Amino acid sequence: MRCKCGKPAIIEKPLLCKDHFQKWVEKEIRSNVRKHKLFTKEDILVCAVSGGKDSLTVMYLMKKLFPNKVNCLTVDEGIKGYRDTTLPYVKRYCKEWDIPLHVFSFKAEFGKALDKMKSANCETSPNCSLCGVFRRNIMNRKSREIGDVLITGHNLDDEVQTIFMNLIQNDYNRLARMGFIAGIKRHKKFIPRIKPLRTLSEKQIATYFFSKEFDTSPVECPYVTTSLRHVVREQLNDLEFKYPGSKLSILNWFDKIKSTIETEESEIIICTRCGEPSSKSICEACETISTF
Amino acid sequence: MEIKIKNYGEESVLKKTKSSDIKGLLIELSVNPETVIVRLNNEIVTLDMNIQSGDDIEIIPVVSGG
Repeated sequence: MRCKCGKPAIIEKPLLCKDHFQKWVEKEIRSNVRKHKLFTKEDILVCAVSGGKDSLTVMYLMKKLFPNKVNCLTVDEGIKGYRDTTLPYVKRYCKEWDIPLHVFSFKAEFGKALDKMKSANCETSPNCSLCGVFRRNIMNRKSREIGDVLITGHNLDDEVQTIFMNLIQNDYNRLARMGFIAGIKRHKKFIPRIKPLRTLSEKQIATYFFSKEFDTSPVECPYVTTSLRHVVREQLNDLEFKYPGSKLSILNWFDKIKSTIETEESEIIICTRCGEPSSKSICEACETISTF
Repeated sequence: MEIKIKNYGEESVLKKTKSSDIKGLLIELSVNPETVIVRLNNEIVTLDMNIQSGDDIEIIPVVSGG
């Protein structure tokens, strides 16, 4: 298959050659930021980067396409054989793209690496949930100190998987919080979490990443297969293969009906132990730490 | 025909195939084309690209790390 310019295409959706596809991705991201007013020219951007394709791509695009100051925030959860393979890539690209790097670890912030949390007394908590509680805590707390908005590499696949997971779990409140800017409540202690890649599929982002000759670790998080997300992801990829365009249609449908979802959001209060925003007097992170 | 095939980050192995294009090869390997991109002789290619004996094929998963 060939691009409209006659050169060999590198992707089917959209059917474009390397140069035209890279330009298409960059135009899409500029359009998402402007159309949805994701941040202002003055905002200091903090990119949450794991070292995977999506987060490295979003950090690269923020630096390339916008005049804002860009920072990189990385969380070291303490997953042996995984995080130690991705961190070198984060360090390498921050240096190459001249972006200040801030690394925070579970061990320094909460006293324990994730691997140790699993083997100690958290057998009842799925690791993805446990990890998410602590990761969100660090990202919200630390990015507030560094900048004005937190940029994440969430893509179309992530968003559609989350829509389905919230449907399966009948979680209206979490559904209503989804969007280009996560959360429905504004609070001075919540940093806005922005998802500029939300309309691009994993395949499109990977194609952009590798067509730019970037590189990363092939190692997957060892806990990923235990999650509901893994099951939903497989089903959605089968659907997309049989009915191309399904993922984007689902996201567009969701964005149209989102405002009609009635929520029962609880009031935001401040955790009495750590001072972070929470729905309870003791936040989930502090509550979990107390069980160690 | 025989091709050299490798998964991202791994060594190449020789494999016999009856498929004539990338899409057929992925289906033969039970890989959903939606979940990977493919480099044919170091170039990213679309699924309809024909393959020939001696080709180097790299299969790169698009799934994020975690």
